[in-house]
Amino acid sequence: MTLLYFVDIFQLDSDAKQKKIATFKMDESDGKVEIEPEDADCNSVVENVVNDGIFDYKYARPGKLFPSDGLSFLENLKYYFRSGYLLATDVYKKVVE
Amino acid sequence: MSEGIHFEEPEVSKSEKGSESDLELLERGEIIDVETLEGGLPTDVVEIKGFGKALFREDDEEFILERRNRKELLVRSDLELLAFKIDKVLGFNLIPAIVQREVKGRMGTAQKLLNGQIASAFGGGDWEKLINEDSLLKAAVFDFLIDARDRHFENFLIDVANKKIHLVDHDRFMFLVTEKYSFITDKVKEMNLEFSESIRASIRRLLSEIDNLTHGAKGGIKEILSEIKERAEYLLTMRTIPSIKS
Repeated sequence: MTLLYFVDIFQLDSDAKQKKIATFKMDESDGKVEIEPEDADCNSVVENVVNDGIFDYKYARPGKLFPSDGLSFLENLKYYFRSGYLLATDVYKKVVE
Repeated sequence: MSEGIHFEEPEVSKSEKGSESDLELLERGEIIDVETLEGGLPTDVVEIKGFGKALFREDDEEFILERRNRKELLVRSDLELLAFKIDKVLGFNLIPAIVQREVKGRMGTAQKLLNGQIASAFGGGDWEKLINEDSLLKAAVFDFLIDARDRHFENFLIDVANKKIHLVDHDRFMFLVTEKYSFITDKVKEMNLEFSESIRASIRRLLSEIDNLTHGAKGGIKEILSEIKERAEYLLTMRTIPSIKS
């Protein structure tokens, strides 16, 4: 049994409809965050986050978070992607047998 | 502010008059549709009769700073409206129209939904080439004035057709977190763009009106305005923009 954590990224199109462009996924057993692109549009968005990192909005710790920071990184994605034009979900879990 | 210097009130242009009626519609127009978006922070697309679509964010999203063990509002109408007001006084037109209003019994901000694309969509590499220098400078000046803490590729939009920037997300993170970051001010510093006289005039106009904005302000807004005033005075002594670094 494996516990997986997910965050989905949604983008608003020109008709103000959302489409999912990427999913960040973490396996609890190794803490590794992987990215599953859903759309070619996500490449730049994902690259920026992966290369530049994001602030620790939730705990206000100094420095930046990267995928290697595991759950902290996932939890903060919803604060980074908050404009409405891009939105990240809360972290959600799935148990995989 | 120097005494004896008087700045003429700019004439209200036809487009500004149009903007005033747009704002009224945004604030009071009949809502004909509300669609809640997928996402961790509650956001709706609302359609307003005669206006079009707006993004609505409710005021009461709370989150806790674990280290300090207190609750602070993330989405704050007062900060969003302050940013819009500063932009309006400057005359930069960077921030899409935004008002405080009620949607389905919830108070929050409704902001005009733009067709511009999030900057990161342009690959991050040469995004500044899609924008005219005047718009880029104005955005950098604005971010310097508000001491922007969180300007990254996902909270500014590029209107490619008109070569302009639009700025969004003027919430608690943009104004009050301890980190300081603006891609835009860093880019302008790197390009060594110098202020035009028109931008200097805008800063002087802000200085002439900022005490009026401070009057009656509460909830930390007074302190923010005081700091904006100091930075505006400082900017007028410079020929280009200092970068924001923590």
